[in-house]
Amino acid sequence: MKSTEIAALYGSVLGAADVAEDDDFFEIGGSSFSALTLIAQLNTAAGSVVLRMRDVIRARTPRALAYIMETRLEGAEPSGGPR
Amino acid sequence: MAEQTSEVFIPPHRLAGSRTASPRNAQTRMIAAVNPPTPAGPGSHIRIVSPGMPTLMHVPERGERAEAALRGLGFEVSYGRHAFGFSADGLAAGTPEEQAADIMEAFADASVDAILVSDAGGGSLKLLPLLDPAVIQANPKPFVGFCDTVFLHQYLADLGVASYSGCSLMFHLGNVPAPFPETTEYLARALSGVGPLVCGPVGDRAEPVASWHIPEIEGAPRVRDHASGWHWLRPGTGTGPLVGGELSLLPELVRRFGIRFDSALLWWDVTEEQAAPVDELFDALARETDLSLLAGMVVGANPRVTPEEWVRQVGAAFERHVPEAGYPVLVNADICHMTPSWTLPYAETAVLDSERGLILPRTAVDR
Repeated sequence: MKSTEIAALYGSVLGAADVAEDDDFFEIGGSSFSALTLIAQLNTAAGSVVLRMRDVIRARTPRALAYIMETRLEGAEPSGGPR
Repeated sequence: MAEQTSEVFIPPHRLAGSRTASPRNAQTRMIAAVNPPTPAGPGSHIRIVSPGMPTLMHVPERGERAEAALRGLGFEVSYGRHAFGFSADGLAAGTPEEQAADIMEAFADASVDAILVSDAGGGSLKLLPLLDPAVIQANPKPFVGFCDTVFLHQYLADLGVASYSGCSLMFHLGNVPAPFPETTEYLARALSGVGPLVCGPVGDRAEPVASWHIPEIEGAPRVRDHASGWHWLRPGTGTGPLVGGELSLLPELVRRFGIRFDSALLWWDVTEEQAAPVDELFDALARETDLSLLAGMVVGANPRVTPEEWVRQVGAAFERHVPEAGYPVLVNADICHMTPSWTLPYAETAVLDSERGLILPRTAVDR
């Protein structure tokens, strides 16, 4: 997913408008609960478990998450997916 | 025969059970004791299912540590097809249909000897209409759950199928570097079916892993910095089927199943996230069902307050809502949201005795 698409998803999950690619999920109103929803929607879009909670804790912006997703989907970084 | 509603899960053979004249308890039935389940031990096959939150998907390394602990006890371990799943809103480990399907497959699979939940957290009530009671009754096996799975435990008890409450893969067995020995000891002792199961104080306790999504917290060894120690609010002896769960869930349990706790040993605790005063929670339950005729009460320790303060709060709530009760009451017991903790049979006959503790004979009863 592109970072702009992830930013739009941030806005959808949080009910926020004009989310930028470098906005911090938790600084614009995100919580651990809303992060669960965000990750579920990102993984559904990716078609596999690409992200986990720890990723949103550490990489909080759409731009950072887009990079992680792209890297993992290319197989450069193992996702440790479900067995 | 009374009319069934879709909101109440009362097996037909229970509708003719004993009644009470108390307005609060009208059209309710007493808890019936269940027999101990088939023993499970080294060599037995445990199937992991996820009827609650998707923590297994988010923290698979915690699941691997827990699986190693189970294998260390001699169990074989497998996973339900959706055990690592997640729902569209991210709050559950799959759709209710997926979660229920995993439970049904575990019961139907003759190679599975016991079922253990990966985690709880919510949603088990939605699974009940999706379960097949005939398949479960034809293939009874111990089901081990925690907290929100109380609805599954009561559902199974109504089918005459025994279960255990107080243990989950992620919460109890996934600690770094390993689960507390008392936790695994109580799990193994309970599953063995060997009686009597004598539950005593387990020692100092550690807080729950509430921030499991933060690797630095989840991956750190738990610190046992909450003092242990029981307190008998009221002494005495009581015998009855042992049932219970998280206090805020119990009113819903009473309503959904049309039960009352007369002559039962009722245990309850509160979660680390429970901000409501205990008096308010206790009041909600007391309004739903008469608590004056219990055989006894066991109250788990509270992660949010000291044992002394918890005794004070529970004592005040008890005196306000059931001052007339004459049964034994134990506070700061080791069935709680801290670890180490007990794994307790659900609805099996137990004895609560202020001289001897909590004892489960593990003997069969006539149903």
